[in-house]
Amino acid sequence: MSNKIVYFTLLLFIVFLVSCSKETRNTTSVYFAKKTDMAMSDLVSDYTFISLETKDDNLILDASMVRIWNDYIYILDCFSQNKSIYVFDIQGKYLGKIGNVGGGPGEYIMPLAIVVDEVNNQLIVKDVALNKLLYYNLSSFKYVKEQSIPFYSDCMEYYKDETIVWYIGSGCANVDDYQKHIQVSDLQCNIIDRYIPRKKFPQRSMYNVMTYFHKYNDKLFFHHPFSNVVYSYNNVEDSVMVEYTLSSDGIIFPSEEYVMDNNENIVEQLSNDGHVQYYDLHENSEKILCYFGVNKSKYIGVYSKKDGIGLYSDVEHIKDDLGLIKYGRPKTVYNDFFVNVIYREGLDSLSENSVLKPYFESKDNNLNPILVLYK
Amino acid sequence: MKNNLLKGLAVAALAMIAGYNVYQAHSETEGMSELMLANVEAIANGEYAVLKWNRHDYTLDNGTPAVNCWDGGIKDCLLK
Repeated sequence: MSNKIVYFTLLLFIVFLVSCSKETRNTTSVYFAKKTDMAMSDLVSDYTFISLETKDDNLILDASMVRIWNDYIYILDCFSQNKSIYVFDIQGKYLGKIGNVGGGPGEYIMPLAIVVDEVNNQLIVKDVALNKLLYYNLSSFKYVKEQSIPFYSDCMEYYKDETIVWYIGSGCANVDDYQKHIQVSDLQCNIIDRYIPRKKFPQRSMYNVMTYFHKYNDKLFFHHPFSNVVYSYNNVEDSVMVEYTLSSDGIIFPSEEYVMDNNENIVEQLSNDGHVQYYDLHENSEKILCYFGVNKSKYIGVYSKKDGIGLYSDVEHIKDDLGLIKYGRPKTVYNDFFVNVIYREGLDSLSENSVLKPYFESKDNNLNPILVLYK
Repeated sequence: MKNNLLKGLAVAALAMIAGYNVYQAHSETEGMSELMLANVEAIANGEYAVLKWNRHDYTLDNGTPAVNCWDGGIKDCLLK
């Protein structure tokens, strides 16, 4: 063996070692330890409020879904009798409604999701009663067009580059018609890709959640109903990967295997076993928030990405050392701030030094909720 | 002596590369879950079923349970 070959081999070895040192993809284990004395200041270090203006026709009874984009706030109230989509500016000034309840063009019966199409400056509304998407211009709030959805889905999310990602659980009776859990489509609902072979998940899939998706940093995350594995979808790598696995001490986040093994009466079984029945995730640059429920109890888990430490508490037991009333369900993330909704029905329980007192005592007869943006 | 040492190193390096590749191939087979395989599977035919039912359980922020079922539904759609 000549020296040249030997040197070449060693050089090859060095290159090999360098290439091996590049990124190896790991799943992050998100673990929440129980914290019995959690205070609001453990969750909130910086916050601001947006008081939503009240007019004759815009009383929000339940903010089922909140989206904030380009300094406009879109609130979907879909389960109360005041079913509508309301628009406010970032100061809380009411700007109008989007669409109306009805069966005509531009009208919806049961709008169960709103997503922002950032490329075309439009709001996309999913009406599950008529199984169609409605598109509204976000400058004029006017109806643009509609598109019937030629397939079933549990929930959907706008991703980017004019694509929509759809989650298909087991909510449709005809399981065999759908071979994958994830479908990626264009805005006309033409399927571009499909991911994750269909598993035998329970039919009662949408249990106490509005969506299985959340977005952070150009990544779209989702999870199967009830189970603790969180996936990410990335259209650049054209892949779906396991990103997080959730666990905690004391309360069990069920595995996918558990869910499949108990799919007949999953909600009741989870209730009997005291396991997590539903959860949703929100994420910013520092934290992952996991709001989860077991029977009638609701918990918030906060995981520090920097420290790799997670804590959770029953929301009813969080000490309100900041005067923010009780902790509610996170709705969205805007400019790295988590967004929660505070309803004014908590007025009587406000402490003397509550930071919210000025909002509740104002003379403007404001009945609509207050958004709290925090991190 | 020096040449022998270099040759030994080169052989060891080749053995490590080969060994690693075998390990990698093995672990990829084991770890190549349905997710990875899903990415290379052929896209299914483009025919879709009509909407069968859509149940959505939800608790309003004030604690009131809500449910929605569309297009018929089955017994599971009854609010318990």
